[in-house]
Amino acid sequence: MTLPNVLSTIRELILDTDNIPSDMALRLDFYRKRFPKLSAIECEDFSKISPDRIKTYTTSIFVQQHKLLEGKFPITFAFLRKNWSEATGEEFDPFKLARAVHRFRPWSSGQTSELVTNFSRYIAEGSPELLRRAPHLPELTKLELVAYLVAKLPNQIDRDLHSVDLVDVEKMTVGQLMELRFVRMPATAFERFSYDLPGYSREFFSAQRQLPELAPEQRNVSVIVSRATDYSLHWTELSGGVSSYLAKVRPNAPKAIEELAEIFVAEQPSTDESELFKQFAAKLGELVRGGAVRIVE
Amino acid sequence: MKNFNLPVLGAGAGLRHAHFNEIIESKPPFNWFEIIAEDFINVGGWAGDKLQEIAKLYKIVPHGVGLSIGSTDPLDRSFLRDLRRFLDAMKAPWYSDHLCFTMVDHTNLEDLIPLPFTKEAVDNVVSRVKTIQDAVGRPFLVENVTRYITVSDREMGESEFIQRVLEGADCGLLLDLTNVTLNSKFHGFDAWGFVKSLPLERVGQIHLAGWEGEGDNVIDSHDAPVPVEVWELFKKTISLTGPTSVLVEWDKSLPPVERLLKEANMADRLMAEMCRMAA
Repeated sequence: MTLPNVLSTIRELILDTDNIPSDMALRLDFYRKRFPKLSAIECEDFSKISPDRIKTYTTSIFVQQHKLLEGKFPITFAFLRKNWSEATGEEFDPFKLARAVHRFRPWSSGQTSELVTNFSRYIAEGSPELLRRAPHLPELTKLELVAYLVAKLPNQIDRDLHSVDLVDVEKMTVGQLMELRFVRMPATAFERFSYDLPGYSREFFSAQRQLPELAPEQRNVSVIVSRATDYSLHWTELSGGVSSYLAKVRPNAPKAIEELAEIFVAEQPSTDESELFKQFAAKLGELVRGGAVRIVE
Repeated sequence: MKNFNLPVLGAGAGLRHAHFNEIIESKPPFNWFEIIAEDFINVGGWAGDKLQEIAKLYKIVPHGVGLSIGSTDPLDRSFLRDLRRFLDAMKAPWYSDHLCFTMVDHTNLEDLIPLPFTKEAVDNVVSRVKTIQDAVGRPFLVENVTRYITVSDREMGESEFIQRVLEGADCGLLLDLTNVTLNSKFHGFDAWGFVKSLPLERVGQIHLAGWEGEGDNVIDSHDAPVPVEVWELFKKTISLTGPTSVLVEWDKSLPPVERLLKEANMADRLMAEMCRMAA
């Protein structure tokens, strides 16, 4: 018996084969033709296996995958359940969807993040009929994908860097604040959206998971996604320059606040210094409260 | 040798996310918890932090579902390094995973698929378990799986297959009595006769769980109390192995922590009774 051939056959039977003959003699013939690398004895052994038992594995695997995906993409699935049949002319079947994702890109590692990423790509590339109806869908799955990844990222804090409390920062003068430094937290990610999907997501969860109306106008929004100390996820809107700058800053590597302030100010229409400082302090506070950055001495 | 020379922790339960807060707040008197290692390796955030808190209160033994011990794909060395770091951090007394494959041709089936009971499969598993034992740096147990199919039993049966793996790799057995009971229903053999045929001195841990369905149409679902016939098999097994580390698994339709504790207490009580009778 050649183990690699046998294991490959089992894989193909469970994941990719729909119609195994129920009659044992027909099954033997089926195995001989479909799996020419199997020996006569191996074909005979496989023909003894009930197709229903193989189906038990198929069902279990794709039901589990569907449950896992729906857990990570609650808004996308709510949208699909509501719109699938109108967009595709078929009933929404999450089991079939999980199989379609497998056919599009098989899950090739032990990492859940890979399956979740495959689903996001399937929605973006593998379902054109849905995209015609819902062009925002790839961004929606991307938002949920990033939320999942940031929620579980390790967030090691460099204990050698002493944090400065936001309450103290708010009492500081411009000069005092500019002398401080900040670090970007490790559990952060950067995204750009054409639609206000962070807002859409907030509305979905605050309305007991009812799908809100999506604002039709397109916006080009850059956000930093972060995790606050209470584990809530935050989507902080950033200007293009600030977003590019922060994305280049290595996590936990201290940088001067002055540097961040200069980039922020350069993109503001106002020239009133006091107003600019207020705006910068507000944005910095938002980033700190959302867990995107930490102010350090 | 007894219990594969592993410490006897008594009865514990599978630790699942939905119970984290209650366990931290009420500190129920569990002896120990088992966690699925893959759920926590390189994971921070809420789950990672809560696990750290619970690990300060209880002994934690990680258990794996993803090593794909019987596969012909190469072992994932990078995962083994991460696993070792995690096991060290958890001060794990042993590690275990299933005697099956979950991945082949670089495709993850994310299910415990049984192996053919052949010499070739034994040799493959033995070689991989030796590598895994070196990599994890602590005793390693293989767990017998539920098998809805028999891929091949021309060369040997399941009991001989397990025995050859245990002896060839010099590893321990995580004996899942629910899986033995289900397999005896699916394939028509005597569960107790099967247990007796195993090298019980290598049993370092026992798993107990409930199932879904009736008769021949049952699924190893881990979503119900341990059935009476599994408790009976447990009592008989304990009469031969003596006290051991026992784990009640409940993964879906999770009950309140109190109900889970009741199942673990039942295992402890039966274990004490059987050992008193044997003494």
